[in-house]
Amino acid sequence: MNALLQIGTEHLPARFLRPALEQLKENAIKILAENRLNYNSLETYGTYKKLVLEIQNLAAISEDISKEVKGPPAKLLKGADGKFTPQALGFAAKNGIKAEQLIVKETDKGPFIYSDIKIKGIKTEKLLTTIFPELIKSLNFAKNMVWEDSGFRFARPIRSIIALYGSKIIKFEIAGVKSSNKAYGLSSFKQTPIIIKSPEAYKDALKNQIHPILVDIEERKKALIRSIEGCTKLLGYQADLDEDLINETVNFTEHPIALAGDMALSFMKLPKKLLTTVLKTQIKMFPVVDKKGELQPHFIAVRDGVSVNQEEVKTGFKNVMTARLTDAVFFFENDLKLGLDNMRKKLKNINFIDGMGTMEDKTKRITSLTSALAKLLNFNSTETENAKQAAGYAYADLASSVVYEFTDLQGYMGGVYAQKENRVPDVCTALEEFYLPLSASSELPKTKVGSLVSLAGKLDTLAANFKAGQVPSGSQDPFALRRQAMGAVRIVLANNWPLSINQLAELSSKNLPESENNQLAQLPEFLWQRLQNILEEKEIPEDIISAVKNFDMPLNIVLANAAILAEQLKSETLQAVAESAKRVANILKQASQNLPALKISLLKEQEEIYLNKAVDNLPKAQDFATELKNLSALKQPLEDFFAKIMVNVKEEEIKQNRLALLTKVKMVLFKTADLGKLKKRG
Amino acid sequence: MNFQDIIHNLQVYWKKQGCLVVQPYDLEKGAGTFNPFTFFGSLTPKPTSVCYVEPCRRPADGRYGENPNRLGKYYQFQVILKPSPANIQQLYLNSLKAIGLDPEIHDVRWIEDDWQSPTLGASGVGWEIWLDGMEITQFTYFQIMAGYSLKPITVEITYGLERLAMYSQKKDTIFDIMWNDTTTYGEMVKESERQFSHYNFEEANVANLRRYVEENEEECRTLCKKGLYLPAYDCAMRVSHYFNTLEARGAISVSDRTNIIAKIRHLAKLCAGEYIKQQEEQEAAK
Repeated sequence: MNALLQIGTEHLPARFLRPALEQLKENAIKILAENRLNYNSLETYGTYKKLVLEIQNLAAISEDISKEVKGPPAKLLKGADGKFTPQALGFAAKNGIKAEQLIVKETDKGPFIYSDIKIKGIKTEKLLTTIFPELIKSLNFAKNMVWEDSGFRFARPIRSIIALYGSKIIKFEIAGVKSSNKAYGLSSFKQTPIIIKSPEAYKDALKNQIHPILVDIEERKKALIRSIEGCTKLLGYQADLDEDLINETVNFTEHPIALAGDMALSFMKLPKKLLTTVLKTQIKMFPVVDKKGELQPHFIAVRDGVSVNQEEVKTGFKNVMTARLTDAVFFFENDLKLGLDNMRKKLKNINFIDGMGTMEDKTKRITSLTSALAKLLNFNSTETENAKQAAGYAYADLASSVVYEFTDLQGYMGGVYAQKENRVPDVCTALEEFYLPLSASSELPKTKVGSLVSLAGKLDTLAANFKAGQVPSGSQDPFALRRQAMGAVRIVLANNWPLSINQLAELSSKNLPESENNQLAQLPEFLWQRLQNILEEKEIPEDIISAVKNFDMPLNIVLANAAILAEQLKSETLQAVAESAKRVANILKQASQNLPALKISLLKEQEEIYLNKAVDNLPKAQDFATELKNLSALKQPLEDFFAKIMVNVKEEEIKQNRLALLTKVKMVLFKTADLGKLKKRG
Repeated sequence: MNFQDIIHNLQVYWKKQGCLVVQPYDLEKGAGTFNPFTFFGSLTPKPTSVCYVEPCRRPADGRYGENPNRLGKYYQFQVILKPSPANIQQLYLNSLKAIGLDPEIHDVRWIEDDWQSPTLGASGVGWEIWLDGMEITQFTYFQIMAGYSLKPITVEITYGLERLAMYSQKKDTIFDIMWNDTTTYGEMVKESERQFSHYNFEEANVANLRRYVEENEEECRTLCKKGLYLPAYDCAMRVSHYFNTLEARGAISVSDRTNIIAKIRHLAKLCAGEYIKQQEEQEAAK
């Protein structure tokens, strides 16, 4: 027989639905296993008012248990008084049986007490009366509330519960609600109970109402898209089916119905992203576009359920949309009147972070940082000029009314205002691209000038936060500094700019205000960790990453070296050289820093003479791959040296000279990468 | 439906649901939640069901009667129910029907919106309710009031009367709302909006306001010590209003703001504490 649990709630926040259903599924699998209940399959689905678990072919009884557990030695069963010892009583209690039920069995090590546990299966009907309430209690939400006297906590009030095993109601009560077989329809309509005769009848029973409910998420999603497309087809256009908005809409409707409406042409002069942001985020409507993706003067709104009064609802939606877009036009036009120069003047009233000045100060800092980087990277004079100008206006739009209302449009609006002011295209694009990338893997600024200004902005944010002592730790990263650092590293790599971690850290630390909490020393390692993430994603082994770790080498070279080393290490000869390199490094660890210079005259043994010659004879390498290949010439000399030569001999002069020889060897072995960090391969 | 009929019909509807229909509290306040029926009403185990119109003053929101969507003073209709009935959502939807907005022929959306008031030290969980996309009501299950966790839980329904009227009468501006068949909302309030905006933004005497804040704070504390939590709470409400006026007047810095809000929160807690103490003493004496 099948089983069904439906938790009927008041309107759950749309964002809670999917995580709750995932938990319900995981917890059900776990708790059914703990209770030794077998079943074919189970699934969870639901709406913002119904969290549902459906279990297919749930066994009628849980599995029997039969197992023997070994206890203390048999002599501890009863004391001299003939009574069970405390040890025996304890063991029996632990296994849930009476001491009288304990048995003694012979083993290799003598007789021992055993408990022979036999647990009979329990009827599913009975088990479910505790399993279902436990499942409901097991759900965690981002935020919980209390609504009735028992103090039960859930995301929103629970108002009904369906609990069925076959056609039988599994009876229990939670938060004052008794389980039943009654479901309820769309909340705006009369609440007549829908009787659910069996778990398998549930979905259809809800669907076959005058006001149907699509309780399956995927089905609801398909219905939504079909309904939207039905509307846009009539218009001869398409909808911008934003994935996030689709999912959100699916999660706050039980039966999504799309309505199309017109938009005044005057709104079409709004920047595209501003218009779509108002529609999507403020009033949850879908923009309408033509085949080329150009916005059209229409909107698609979604309501929950059908009614006799679609026209009036449409008018309502249209009025709300008009009011919101009128606000947006008002903000936008005010901003255009103000202009970027005046916006920039207002930045002195906006604080950046405590102790690190205002956004005006930050603007000055990134302008000089941009200038320094442009010089270092040999930008031509036009590029440099454009980059500096873009840096000067990079934060101006933060003082605009539109960005004040819609923070996500920062950067984009700066680009729009710059275009309206007929500024150089490179500057406009740079402003638009300033905040890219928005996530660890999303798109980077495309232009050279845009990349540089974006890099400068990120470096300053990082350095300023570190200087103010705000270093991310664990899950604590309120300013998303990891993402900023990743963006900076990715920009440097994508442009093949020859910049090292130390250069980035040093350049960005200039011009910052003094601070008592200065943690700038941690910045290079923090940047390195981002590069390390990139290497790990390329599946470069950890030891190779440590071997190529270098804060003074350009990032792209470090990245390339890792790949080269990984490739070359396929050669057993190089692996052997690496093993010897480790020994060299270990021996030198104990040596003094001030060794005398190597004296050829003191090299007496054949192996040390050969090793010295082999080092002298190494050809000059132009690149890391050749350098590594050349090192194979040292394999034999090194192995012979370690086989025959004692370094720590009694004669101090000889010992010092051999250490000096190894130092010379180390110089060539560790020229580019620390081969001593490599693990033995095999 | 006229503005006065919306109020009348809501009162009739909630009266039928057993609510005590009370009159607005006669002190300036920024939101209906400040009404003592809401504030003290949510704090004890005694059942409560009341409804009332509450005029709200938000000095900083005034626009001299020139912006058709902004007012320095407007009206809320509040319903306070404790314990919260299991069918509360249905009761609310039926109330919309009572004012001519049938949920069956409109789209009613419950959008997650958890309310909090730092000045009252209060917070709750709930929704803002959209009618065909327009926000018309705030619906909150109080969880904490004046820093105290609540039991039983009070539900607060706050209707935005002007929004409802605009929607129901299909008006684009607040001032065009018909109060009755012959008088518009604009005729009723425009001059007051103009004068109060002028006062709040330009004329309010900052030194006096600061003094009122201090005097009322002191009086609140003294009265609480004497067990007179009701007049004490009046003083706390006045502090809150004078603070709002100072803010509109541009006389409050960021750190000032945090400090005064903390001060009011503390006063609210003192009043609440005294009220709870006396309630418990009365219970014990029975």
